[in-house]
Amino acid sequence: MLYRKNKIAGACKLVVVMLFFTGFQPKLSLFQTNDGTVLFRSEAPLELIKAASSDLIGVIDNDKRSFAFEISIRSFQGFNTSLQKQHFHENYMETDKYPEAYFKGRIIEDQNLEIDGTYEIRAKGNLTIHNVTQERIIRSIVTVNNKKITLKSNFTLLLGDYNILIPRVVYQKLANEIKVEVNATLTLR
Amino acid sequence: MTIVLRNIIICCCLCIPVFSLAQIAGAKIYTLSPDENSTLNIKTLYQIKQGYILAGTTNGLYRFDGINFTRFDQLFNVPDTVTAILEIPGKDVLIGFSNGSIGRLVNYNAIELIPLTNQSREAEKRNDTKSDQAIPYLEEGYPKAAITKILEDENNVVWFATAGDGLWYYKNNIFYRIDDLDGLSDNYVYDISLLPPNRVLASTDNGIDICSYVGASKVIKTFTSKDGIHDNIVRCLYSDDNANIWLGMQDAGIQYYNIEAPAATDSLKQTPWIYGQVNSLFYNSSHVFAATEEKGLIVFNISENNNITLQYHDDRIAKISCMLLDKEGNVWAAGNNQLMRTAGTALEPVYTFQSDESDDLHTLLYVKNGDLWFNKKQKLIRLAKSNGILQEKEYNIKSINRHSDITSLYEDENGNIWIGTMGSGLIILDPITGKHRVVKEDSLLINGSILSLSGKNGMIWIASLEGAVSCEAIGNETGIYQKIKYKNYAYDKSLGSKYVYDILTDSKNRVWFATDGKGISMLENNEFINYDKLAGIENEVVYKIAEDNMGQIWFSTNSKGIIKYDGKTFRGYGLEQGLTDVNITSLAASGSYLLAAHRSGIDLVNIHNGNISYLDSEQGLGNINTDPNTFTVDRLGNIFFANGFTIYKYKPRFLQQQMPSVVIDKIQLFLKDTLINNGQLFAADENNLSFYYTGLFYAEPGKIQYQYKLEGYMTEWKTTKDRIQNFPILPPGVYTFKVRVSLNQNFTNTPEASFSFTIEEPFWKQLWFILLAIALLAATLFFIIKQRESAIEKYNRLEREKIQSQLETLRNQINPHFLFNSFNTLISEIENNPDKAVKYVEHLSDFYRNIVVHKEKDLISLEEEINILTDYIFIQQKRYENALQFEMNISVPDQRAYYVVPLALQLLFENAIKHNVVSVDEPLHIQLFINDEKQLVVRNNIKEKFQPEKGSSMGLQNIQKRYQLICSKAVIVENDEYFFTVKIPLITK
Repeated sequence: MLYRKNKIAGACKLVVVMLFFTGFQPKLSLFQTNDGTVLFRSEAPLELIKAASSDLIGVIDNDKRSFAFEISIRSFQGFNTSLQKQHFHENYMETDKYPEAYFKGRIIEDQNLEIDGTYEIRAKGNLTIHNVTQERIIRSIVTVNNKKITLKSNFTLLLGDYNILIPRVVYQKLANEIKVEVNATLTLR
Repeated sequence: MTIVLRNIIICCCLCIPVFSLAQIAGAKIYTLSPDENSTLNIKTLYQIKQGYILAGTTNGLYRFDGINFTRFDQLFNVPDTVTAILEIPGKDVLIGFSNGSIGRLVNYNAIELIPLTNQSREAEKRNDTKSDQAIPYLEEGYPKAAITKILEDENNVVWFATAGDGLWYYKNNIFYRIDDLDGLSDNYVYDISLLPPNRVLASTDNGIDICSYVGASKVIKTFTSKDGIHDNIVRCLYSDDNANIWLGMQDAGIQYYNIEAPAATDSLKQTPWIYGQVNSLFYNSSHVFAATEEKGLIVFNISENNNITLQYHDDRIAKISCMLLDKEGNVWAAGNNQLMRTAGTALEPVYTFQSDESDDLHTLLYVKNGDLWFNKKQKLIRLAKSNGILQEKEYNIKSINRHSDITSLYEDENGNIWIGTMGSGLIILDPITGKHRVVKEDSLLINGSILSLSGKNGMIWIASLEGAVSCEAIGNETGIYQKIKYKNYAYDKSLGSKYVYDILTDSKNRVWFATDGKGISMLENNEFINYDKLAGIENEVVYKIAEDNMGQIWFSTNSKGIIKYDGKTFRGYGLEQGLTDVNITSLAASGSYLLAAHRSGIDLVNIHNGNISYLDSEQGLGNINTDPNTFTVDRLGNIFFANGFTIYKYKPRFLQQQMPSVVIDKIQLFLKDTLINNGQLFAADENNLSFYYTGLFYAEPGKIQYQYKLEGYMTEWKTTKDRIQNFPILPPGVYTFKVRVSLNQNFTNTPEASFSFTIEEPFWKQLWFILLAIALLAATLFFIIKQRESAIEKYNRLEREKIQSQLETLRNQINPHFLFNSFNTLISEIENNPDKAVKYVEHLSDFYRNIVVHKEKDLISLEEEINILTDYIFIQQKRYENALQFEMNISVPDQRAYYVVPLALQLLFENAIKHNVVSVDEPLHIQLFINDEKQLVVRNNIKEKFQPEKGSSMGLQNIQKRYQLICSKAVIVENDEYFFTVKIPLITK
């Protein structure tokens, strides 16, 4: 039930995000997704923690070379125990206070994403997690096929960079370096 | 429970060596935490001319003194995140912030913003220009994004790179902007670097731009991946010269790029870059230092033909955002809230060997072809580069006894390696074939214990426990079997001792011997001279001899430190001169420095001025191998030595300062910070001063000590470790506070800072005050005397007038005319009325008595004066009868209340009678009354005599003068047609 609520809320946000991008542009070259997946892994010496969400929503504006992605932290499923999940939301991410993570910015490479092919592009933008914004350049592989963009990206996050402090006792169970994998398919609107 | 405890202890014991192995030479990490609950990121590092290292962070600006971080105060409206710093020497320290604001350091202790908005400019204009700084003219606005770097070019134009708002330059008070519309490849500028002449390189997400200005127009040339740059995202750059630049990129690592021949450049691209984005880089003495996002500090070595090879990397700080090369040659790297100091290129670990014990290594030798030779006990190892990596090759020498280690190595002119052993004599090895032979020709060397090998010009010297042996090749054979002529100095008495530790042939071909217990001996022209008394090292063990590039000979001793011989005299260096230890086992000279090794580290003696600095645990060198033969020098002056299991290369920093610097941070008056300038004048009661100073030497911050002296107050320097000195009650005087800093007790030639000031004498001791006081006193005295003089004068005049008046009166009364008239009247009275005659005489006598009684007085009451007058009138009326009429209208209280000058009225009456006709037809009418103005009025009608009575007008004048003197009031005389009126002031007592 709660899950569905999130979905609806997510869809609403997507509309907002899109409105922001459409403005009064007559010609549209907007690609969008609302079911991208985000997977993260913490590979600590004593414990492997994994969680995933397929609630990534986002837009790429091929003309303006800009993009915006957003994910609800609450939508992450997985974890080894429910207590772990609770800690994730309450102790580390403070999900009630900061329910979303964002990545907004522009694409550095000049590649036209309406032409079929596979490209490596780099996105430079502000990544906001846990209310801390860091400027990041994230590399992605995009495959364009018949006006459909398949996006795949791997990158790492340092919890310390986002003011997520790990207590000393869980050093062995939670890695400071979190591996993130993003997969999304964006379609032309 | 106990098992758990034991496990913990074991764990701890295991951990320690792991950490110490991971330590790279000279690296030390400092953590900057504002407090327990918050964290910060270091964004930029900068060393100002003063010597301090500044760290710009997300929590303001910090000053680092090698031990502590101190946050600068922020004046009004200064943002927190400092992203760039630049000192324009002698002018300003500029600070760039994450919101695009620009500030400056005020007196090195607080940050203020430079007003940049148009409004503030207008406001400043209106308020007149209070600050002495020119206000920027904002034709093209002002930066609105984080300042990523600030630079000043050779024309004093200041450049500001911003993260998203283009590139700005400040020229002749005007801010100019270069942006994408001008042709800049992107408005997000990561880094800028000066490119002589008059150009600035900027790096962006779309390559690099060469920017310059010609007059007011901007010229931009862009290079991208199409021009051979491996990655368009260039995060940092460093220009090597006018054309060659180093680029640090997002994904492609580093590249050496030539802007004049872009195609010809090449770099590390063939090998995949695995260290993450390069955030910062610089080039220094054939090394490139790169700060990476994921793998810490990476150092590359650049060979003469620009081959780039990885030197080492240190990922204890995984993410490095900024770096700094300081004046001492230390390289600093900072990421998050960590700051790491490394020795930079000066100290470099070369190779780590495997052995049972680290002190299995007794000897280390650098040979001509660049190989290093060393031993592991009796095993001989050659360390040579193969495919760019150092690899060990072991030589199997069976003839060395299992119990006798290798002690010394020497490479002769033919490239053969001579091996000295402890107990197995001397072996000569051909490194190419591996063939070797044991030297048996000389009896001394058979199973000998060799301590060192040295040589020059074909002559090889062997120092051993059996004595000294010289070897000279004869014949043309160059292999290991060449014929050698031996000469033994075992029993030569003048050698002193047969235990010889070391032999050195110096540049003048003198041969020096280090002996056990007999000091130093020198062989010149086949004659020995022993220096032990002369050198002050009688019965002393000398371990090692070295010659520096000035021809000075240095000796290390067992308990007397080191001795220098400059050709004339011997000079000792001990603890007082700054050595850490007096037991020095090993010496090596390179450039301006002599390295002296002892148990706790290496002391570096500057051969020119004797200053001593250190390499020790602070540099990660806590376990130096101090065997006498473990220091070896290559032809470039690099010194190789072993610390623990690692062989290091050390290059003394010839250009960098190897001395601490000292700064007077602030001065307090009565323990409160005040803005005080050098040469300050203090008032007498401003006499409690505190001086705060800091010695800066980042390589050895713990060794800093100070000497201070307050000239004018102290005569001797005082040594201290304190950084504050307080002088609570300074007497007036002229003072200079001086502080100097050293790493040891030796304070000769050390840097010094000073502050001069004057405490004034209290005002009552100052000349101006004394003069003023004297003048005032003199003036007062003068005034008093003047006053008194005039009083006396006045008194005298009064006296004189009084006497005059008496005289006048008497003269008048004794006037024969008056007497004659009076007597005539009396005669007629006696005849007619004897009773009245008696009365008349009574009046006459009263009149005269009163004159006599009152003549001396200054004032008499009106009543008394009227009494006199009554007598006088009685006398005169007897004569003139009705011709003289007198009318008085003064009440008795008034008569008693007022005073007059004696005889004044009488005189006036007398004058009236004298000057007027007194007859029955025209009687003289005299009135006496007090008018409304409280004046005594004497009025008579005028009927002048035909022949005016001769007489001086002295009477009236006399009255006037007396009144003037007594009460400063005028006697008014009115003379009209009918009446003669005199108004006399009435005086109340």
